[in-house]
Amino acid sequence: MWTSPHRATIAPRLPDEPRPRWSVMIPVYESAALLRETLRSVLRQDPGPGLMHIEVVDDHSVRDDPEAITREVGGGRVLFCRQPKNVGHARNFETCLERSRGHLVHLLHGDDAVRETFYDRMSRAFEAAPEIGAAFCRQIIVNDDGHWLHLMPMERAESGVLDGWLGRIATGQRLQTPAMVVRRSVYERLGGFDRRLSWTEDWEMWVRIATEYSVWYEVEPLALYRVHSRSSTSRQTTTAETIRDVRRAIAVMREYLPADQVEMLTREATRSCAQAAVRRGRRFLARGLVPAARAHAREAVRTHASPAVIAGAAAVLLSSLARRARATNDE
Amino acid sequence: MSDDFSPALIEPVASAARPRWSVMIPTYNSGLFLQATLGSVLAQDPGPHAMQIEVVDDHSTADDPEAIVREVAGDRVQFFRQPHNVGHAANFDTCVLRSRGYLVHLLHGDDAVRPGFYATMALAFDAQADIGAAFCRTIYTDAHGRWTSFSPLLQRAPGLLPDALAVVVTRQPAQPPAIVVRRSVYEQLGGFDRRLQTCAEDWEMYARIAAHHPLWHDPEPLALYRRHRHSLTGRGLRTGQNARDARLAIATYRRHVPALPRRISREAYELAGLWMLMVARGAREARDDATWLRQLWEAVRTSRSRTVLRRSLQEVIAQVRAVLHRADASAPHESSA
Repeated sequence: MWTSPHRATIAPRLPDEPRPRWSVMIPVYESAALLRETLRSVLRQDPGPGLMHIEVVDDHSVRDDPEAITREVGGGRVLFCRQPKNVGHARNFETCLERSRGHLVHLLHGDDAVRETFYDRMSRAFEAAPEIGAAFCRQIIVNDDGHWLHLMPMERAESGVLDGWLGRIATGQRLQTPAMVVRRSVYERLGGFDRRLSWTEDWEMWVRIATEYSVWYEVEPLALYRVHSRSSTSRQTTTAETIRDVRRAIAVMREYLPADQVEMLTREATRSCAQAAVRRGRRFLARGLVPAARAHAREAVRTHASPAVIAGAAAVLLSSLARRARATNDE
Repeated sequence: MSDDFSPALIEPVASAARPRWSVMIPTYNSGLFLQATLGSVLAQDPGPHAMQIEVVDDHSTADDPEAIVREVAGDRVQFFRQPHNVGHAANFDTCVLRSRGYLVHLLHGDDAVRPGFYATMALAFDAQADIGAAFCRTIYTDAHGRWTSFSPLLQRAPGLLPDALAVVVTRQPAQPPAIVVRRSVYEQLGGFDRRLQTCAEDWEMYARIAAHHPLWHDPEPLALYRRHRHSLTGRGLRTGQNARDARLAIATYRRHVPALPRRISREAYELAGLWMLMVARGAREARDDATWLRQLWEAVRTSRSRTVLRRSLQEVIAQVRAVLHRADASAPHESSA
């Protein structure tokens, strides 16, 4: 059921190969300066090479030199591998999964970080509940300088296996990748990240995992996810490509969500995606980014044309027209 | 309630042998939270010559803080008990009066600090000798100590806080566990405003300090502030005393800082109103209708800014929906067949 031309098959490791418990796989692309903090956050809790494989996988950066940073911070402890050409982030994540050797895979982007005790706590989750396929902790959102900005909401009052997790994760993205640890055997069974997706490939993966496995939640906020101030003005964001990618992810999920829930879950996901598009449109408008605001209003209606969404999108479009009229008058 | 503002006089310390730090811990029925508070200080204790640590209990009746102090800290931490209950602001004054150090940290018996707090704050006073106080960012927690949110990021690097008075008055960015004040500043400005019965005595004090001295801010979140229903602030919410206190504090700024621009006091009233609406929202979610109505009413009494009025309307709509939903859920199910 899980083989598909759209995702890589993650081959099992050889049976007689010595395998560490952990693989910390660090994809990077043009973010070498931030890689130092990422690596240090892992090395501060390094249980040694017998227990943890740490490797940086560079998507052919040209503006900076992640290999030099890896040597500088990691000495010979951290392995380094460079793509022969730029393959895009989703394919680079796939390489990370393929090259991982440990039983537990932690995909830690080269600009994110973990707080102390992350690996201990996550190890304990897999010991406490051997049936789980994955575990994630609460996250802290940080800015370019690493200052803490926000906390992601609690999924559960105490650490433990999540109830009704598929119903929650399938209706919208609610966690950041550095928080998630997945058994390699889960990737071997379900395949790699979906190549049709360019923005939501992580979300789709968490939904795929939730359809087949139970998932553990650790309440301590031990993962740091960086929001770049430039990312809110990137081309993918301002053209509302991210919203189209959410729709593509929902279409992919329809292929495998349980038959008795698929309609309800995809309807909810579609609705919340459209509402998010309206909210983003409003925010772009407030910042004076009129084309981005309109793109989001249009995508909101294309995604889910409910009366509330149409009204919200119309409000964004009308205010953008009013703004243009005022600007013309001022000239 | 007297309209006279006459803070207690803080006498200078006579002794020449003074520690750098005084960590003064006021308690009143703080219960077991005190264990975590003391533990967080003792974990970074530089020793009795460098740090005075003392619990000042406002005559607790529901628990025995002295036993907790002895259990957690042996005789490292002094304990003082008020002969009768004096109220929180007067108890804070006792804390300041009993402090002997140059730098006073008033750490409430249900709050805590994170590792590195004292070292980081000491750096501020080393770097800038003329500051009156220094504060870091705060992590808010629930009653169980689980983190709920962070105070806003005011600046990206440690340093003097620009426009400190306006920032303190319009944003109240410093929570008690996050701020360290020179004892000499209390000696100059006096103690806490005892007319404020449930809250805002801290806000009023920090504004008074900011009106007279530069403030230092460090963006590291090294203080933990616990929000719980049994806290003093929590109890004032049901009677609306929090709103009366907040308005009195703002009126006091306006009297004591004649140069305070009107725009700033308007923003302060708006901030207070938005806080009451936040409380109202929590009361709605907890189905505490009396508190909800009281806080909504007080919000509109405190500020009629556009934002406060819009959010009040949204709050009313949300409450109507919640009530209809409740009625719907409790109605007996009828067969549609």
